[in-house]
Amino acid sequence: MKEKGARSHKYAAGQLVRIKSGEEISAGLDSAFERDGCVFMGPMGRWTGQIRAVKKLVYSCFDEFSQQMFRPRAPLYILEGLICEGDTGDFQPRCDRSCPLLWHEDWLEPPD
Amino acid sequence: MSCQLESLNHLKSPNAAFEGTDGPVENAKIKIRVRFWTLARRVARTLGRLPKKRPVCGPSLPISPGDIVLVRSEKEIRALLSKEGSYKGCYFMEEMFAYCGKEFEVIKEIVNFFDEAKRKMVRTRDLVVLKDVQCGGRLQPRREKCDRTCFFFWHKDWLCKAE
Repeated sequence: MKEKGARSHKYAAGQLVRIKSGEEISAGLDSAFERDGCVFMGPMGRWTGQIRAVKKLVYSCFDEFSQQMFRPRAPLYILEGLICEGDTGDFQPRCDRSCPLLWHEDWLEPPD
Repeated sequence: MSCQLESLNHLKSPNAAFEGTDGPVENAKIKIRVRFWTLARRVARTLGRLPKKRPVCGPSLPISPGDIVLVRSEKEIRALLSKEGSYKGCYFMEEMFAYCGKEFEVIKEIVNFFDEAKRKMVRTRDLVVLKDVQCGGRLQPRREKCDRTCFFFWHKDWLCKAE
């Protein structure tokens, strides 16, 4: 697949990946719970250790606030069936947008 | 800890914006176009040149998560849309017409959502998201595709309960 982002993606669409443990992921986060600007939200922890299929490789995103398309700083993925339930704790009431969650490549590993 | 939408700005690489597609001039043109049509429609409504559009199937149906719904025909939906392509504030993207006449399961009703453009939570009604019906990222007139795969918002008046 043609590389468009800052780094090429290691995994392909349809490939199975394991989400690393909470400890491994936390070790790579900064004080804002981010890695390369990608937030690891608390509720995402419920899927750590699970094996999921890559649904989509994220090369570019549209930012509705700035009305601009941009390239993420690191390879990101959308995994099959993992959407935000809106229960981050920050939002009152909870958000119903059901966004597909963004997963940093460093949070994933081959299943075996 | 925040939501990924709130901190989307942090994800951007230093030269993140695509050259030539989303520059200030292009953005200004888009905003002017949208404002022009909004104003033109408002004036036309005031002058009585445009009929008040109503859903053919009656008022909003009681649609709940788990229900199977039929997306109304392109013709029916187009009849409801404003010139800007929206209905009661909800935009109907061209890509969504591909789902007309097909049945889908309702997975969630949108009561509150984080409005990324306004950076605040907003309350809404009569909107739902459908299972596996997600945006393919074609955002005209931009050349680049968005890979966020967001669920489309569907107004209940665009849907009928499948029998």
